[in-house]
Amino acid sequence: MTTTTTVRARGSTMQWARFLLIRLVRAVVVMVVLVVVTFAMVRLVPGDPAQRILGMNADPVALAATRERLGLDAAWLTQFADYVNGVLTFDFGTSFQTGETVSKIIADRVWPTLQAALLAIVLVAVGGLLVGLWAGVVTERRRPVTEATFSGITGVIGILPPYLLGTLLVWLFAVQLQWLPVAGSGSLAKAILPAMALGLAPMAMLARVVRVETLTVLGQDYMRLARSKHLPGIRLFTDHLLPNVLGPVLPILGALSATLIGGSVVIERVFARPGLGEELAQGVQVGDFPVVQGLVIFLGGVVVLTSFIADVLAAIIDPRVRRAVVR
Amino acid sequence: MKRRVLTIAAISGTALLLAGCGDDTDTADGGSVPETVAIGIRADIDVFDPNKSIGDIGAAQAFALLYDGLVRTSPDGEITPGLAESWDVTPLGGTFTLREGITCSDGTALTASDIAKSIEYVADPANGSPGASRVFGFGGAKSITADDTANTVTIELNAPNNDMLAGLTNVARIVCPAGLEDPEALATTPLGTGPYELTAQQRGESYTFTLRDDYVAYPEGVTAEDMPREVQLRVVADDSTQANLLTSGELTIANLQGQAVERVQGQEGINEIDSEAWGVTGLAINHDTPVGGNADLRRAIALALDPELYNKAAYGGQAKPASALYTSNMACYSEEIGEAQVRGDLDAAAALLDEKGFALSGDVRTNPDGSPLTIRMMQLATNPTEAEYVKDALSQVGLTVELQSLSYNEALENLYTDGWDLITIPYQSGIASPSLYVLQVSGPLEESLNFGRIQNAAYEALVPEALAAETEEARCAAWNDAQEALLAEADLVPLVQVVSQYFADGLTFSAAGKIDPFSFKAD
Repeated sequence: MTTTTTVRARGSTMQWARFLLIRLVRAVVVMVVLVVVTFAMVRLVPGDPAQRILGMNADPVALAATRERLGLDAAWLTQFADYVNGVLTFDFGTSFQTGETVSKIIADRVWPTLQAALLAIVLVAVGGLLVGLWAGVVTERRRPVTEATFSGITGVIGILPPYLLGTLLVWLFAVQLQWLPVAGSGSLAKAILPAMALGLAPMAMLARVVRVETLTVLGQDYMRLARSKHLPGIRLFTDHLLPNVLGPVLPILGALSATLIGGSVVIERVFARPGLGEELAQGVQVGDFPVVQGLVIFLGGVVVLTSFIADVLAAIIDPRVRRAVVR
Repeated sequence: MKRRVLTIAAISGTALLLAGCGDDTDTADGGSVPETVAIGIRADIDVFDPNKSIGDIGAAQAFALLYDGLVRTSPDGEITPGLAESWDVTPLGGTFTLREGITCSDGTALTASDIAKSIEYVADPANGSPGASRVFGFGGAKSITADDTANTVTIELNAPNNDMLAGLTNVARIVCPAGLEDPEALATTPLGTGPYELTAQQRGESYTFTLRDDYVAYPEGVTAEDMPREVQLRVVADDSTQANLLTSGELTIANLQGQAVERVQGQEGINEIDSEAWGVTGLAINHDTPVGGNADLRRAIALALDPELYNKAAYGGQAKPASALYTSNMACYSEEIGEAQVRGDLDAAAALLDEKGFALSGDVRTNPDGSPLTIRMMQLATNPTEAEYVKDALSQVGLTVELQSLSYNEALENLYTDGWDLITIPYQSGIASPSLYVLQVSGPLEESLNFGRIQNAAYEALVPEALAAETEEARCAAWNDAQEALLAEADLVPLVQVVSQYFADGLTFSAAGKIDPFSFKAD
């Protein structure tokens, strides 16, 4: 008996190790591709950053000096080696435009992005789960009107782009009702509308997935058995329904959370938030290589990390996920 | 290789917002301005160094608060005292007598020598200060000297430039010695002599400027009591958001474009203030290509294009149609020259093409030698309808236009090649003088911004004459002859004067590119 348990435990540890290794390798490969593609991408964009920095009346001497200062006159291979070295030491260089280090720019701008994104993730996770679970339980016994209403509302909200949703929310809650600020950052109140604009559509999509999963779980034999034992509702929910719904839903939540980071580029412009997305948009506009490279890698890293955490959480809650990956 | 780069602001347009709150300050005429005025800007301020910045109008607005020049422009366009209380200028330079008691925002007193050093920095080509040629002309500065006892600064030029004063209103803002010594620190910490100092900032979001108690260089008739105690610049890139901030009362003035204008136009209590550009947006023609190199073809294109229709198509009728190069707010404006230009006459354009052998073959014209004729036009993603209109107008006289849809950066890259025939582009600058065109329409490409490779000998001969003229009459006669020389050859085709629309809640002010911080008046 002890031997069997030990073997099982060792097997489980090995499975975890393989699972984490596979996920880590995947994350590293994605990051390497991101680093290479980002370097190539910003240099394929037409235009000479030195000329943009010095303006229309730039003197040739000043232009040459600026190119040298920015390292633009070096061979691409040299630039790439410097760039990789910088990435490995978290030194993304200095903004061509403002002279600030990219690390400082990231530190200064990360909170407005993070604040809205975290709030949106909470909205997606809590709202999507609660609404989806409620809809699943309610529509278990056929209620065509409720089902159609749920599908209609979540379907419409789910396809609205963040820009449009943001515009509508501002018009309603800030301009008409004046309950919340139109734009800006700093306070929690200023993050609510951006978070809603970012999170409502993914929340609606998640709610639809959760409802389907809930219906599937409710139809399983173990649920019928649990119900026949007349277990309290709360135990039915926490011990049987929720864990089995969460397993397949968590990776989807991770993927949706990753899209929230990307959505921040548009949302920060609508809500005049000085976040990483707005900084990235401006960097692209003026060809500020170090800023674009640094932010893309940072944001890409956050997305990879978010997906990794979601995968691990899903594997903890539902071992079938882990086994599927290892296999 | 002096050249290039049309600022993003110039192509894409700009926007500003102002917001007021708090107590009011009584003005000289009995009205009141808000205690705090917040100015929203479309793009973030890049650096606080006025000699390095290539920022949008938001940066220019910050510099108007933080830095003074020797002279400034009054709301009615006159050149008035800035740090200099008087001056004696000739086309070859001038001596400026400075005000007493000028101090920097860090409290240090500023001497004539300090001011000369700041101007010297701008004059040095190695520093690549944008717009230096507007002050020092195309020959550059010969010397900049100071006499601390007499409290004067003297500028000597290598070649005549009677636009030096006009240039000094916008370029060569005075940077205090500590700022000049440490340009790296100046990028984030401004150090000037302007009426305001930077007291708080959150990069990318907002900047707060507070009125200096020790400021002395107010324009005549303006005192500290007439100024807002605090000015905020808020970064708001989206026009719709700006309009929302204005409507919700968080902001009081917006500079809007497109649909956002319609939302606030006519709202009760909102004043509209128009700021007209100096110079025109027009059709640039690449003279280095078979199409642009043919003067007859250029003239036919100019005849076919109608500034009225172009304005409606590309600017929703919000700009002002322009047939001449010098706009009504510029020196040497001539209404007659504009009226003499024939525009939007499709029959005349077709007749000229027929006469010169560009025969119709079916619906399209060919070259006089029978070869196909295709005109390549760069179409900017920022306003694609500009090129759409040109294509449509020229197709009505049988000319085939192939549009090249390009981003701003791609267009910039292409501009100095022979890979294009036409592009609509702003010929604008921070100087209300005909000299604003010179760099863009004359000179070898290596030493100018003459992306159209225009070679107009008559124009080039008249420019030095105009810049050296001793009287206004002689100056304008030369500049207008120069203008007519360009128009006669259809070297470029003026189309519209862009108008920037500000909307103010309970305020009025003067704006020429940027808001004049000394001009606020309450309703």
